[in-house]
Amino acid sequence: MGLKSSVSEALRIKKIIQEQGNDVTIISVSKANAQGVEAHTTGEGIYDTLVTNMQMYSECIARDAKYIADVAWGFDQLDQEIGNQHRGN
Amino acid sequence: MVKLTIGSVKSELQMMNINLTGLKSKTQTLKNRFTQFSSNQELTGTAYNSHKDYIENMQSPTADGINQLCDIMITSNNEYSSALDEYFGDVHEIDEAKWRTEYEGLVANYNSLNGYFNWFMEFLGRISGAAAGIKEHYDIHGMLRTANSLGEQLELIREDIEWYREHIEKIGELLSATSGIYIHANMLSEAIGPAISLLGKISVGADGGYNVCAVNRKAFQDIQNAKIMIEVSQKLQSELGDDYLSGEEFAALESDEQIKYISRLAEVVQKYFPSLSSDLAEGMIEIPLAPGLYLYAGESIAVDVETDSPVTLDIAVGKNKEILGNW
Repeated sequence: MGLKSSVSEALRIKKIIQEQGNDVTIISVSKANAQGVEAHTTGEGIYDTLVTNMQMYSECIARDAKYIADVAWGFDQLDQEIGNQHRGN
Repeated sequence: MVKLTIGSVKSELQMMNINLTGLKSKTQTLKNRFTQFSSNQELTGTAYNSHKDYIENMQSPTADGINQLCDIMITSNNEYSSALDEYFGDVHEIDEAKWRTEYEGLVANYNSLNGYFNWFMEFLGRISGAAAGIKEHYDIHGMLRTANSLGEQLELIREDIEWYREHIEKIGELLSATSGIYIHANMLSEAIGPAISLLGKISVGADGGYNVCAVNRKAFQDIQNAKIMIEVSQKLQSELGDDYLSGEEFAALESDEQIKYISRLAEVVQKYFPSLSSDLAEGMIEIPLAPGLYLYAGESIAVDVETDSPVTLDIAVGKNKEILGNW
């Protein structure tokens, strides 16, 4: 397996994950006029927590995708250096 | 006091479900990408392998958990919406305080008017039985029409009173019917939160590997455990059907009936989840039954009811050992 192929594969996957990761969020909804129903309060609370959590999760996905890209670029650099050394010899 | 506008609540639930459906689709796609990455044989090396381990053991369980949470929330929202239709399909707004005030006012009006009606009818009876000379001074037919009119007014007020009484009663039924609707969603949400928080804190070391300690990994295992407990709980609900009890209903049972109920639950777990029976018997898991009601086992199998003043319902250990003996 050549390093070039693993770089292109990693970058391809990074692109897909990052595109997806940037969008793994969920928006808030307008609150209804409701008081005194425990189920309503619980449901809204879970949804609001999910909105917050998905914001954090989305940032993790973007970070991880970037990391994959960094790893891929690292391999690419290494690949080029090895290539240059061969040419130098 | 309950106060809610049916239309706005249903609209909120509908919007939630649209967003949750979208999120479910996104996390499913993300999960597929993770799988694609993990199973890619071309990507090898310390950094890639570390990332694959991270994806398989932390990212994937989290994405799975979010995916299932979306499903459970959508189902729960639909159940809540259906309960509103079932109990209050004929009104636009529930206003318990206003209804109670109206109800009390109408009862007072009814009692007052009924008192006058009774007096009037008694008076009319006396006139009817009086001598002809006295009767001539009264318009008997006019008085009968008044009596009929009063009777009709009383009937209308009685119908209104009945409407308010029924609807106030339905508020209690709605609260009872919806009380456990989000129990599974809540359980999964509580497991997912710490996992996402940990994902944010995990860093990459100088060797290109993810810095994850064993304690961190437990948070992701907790998501899996929550999913299993929810599956068991849902199975118990479907198997017991109408016999499935709320916390209050369970607490109201005599102790021998409580033991019979626990025994039934244990039988279902043993039948459908034999591998979990020993975990349950050893006190390693708690199965959610209803808000504040969990099936668990330590030295004995019991159900713990949480109330404002927490009380553990003591089930005779001897009896529990009989149940345990059947496992």
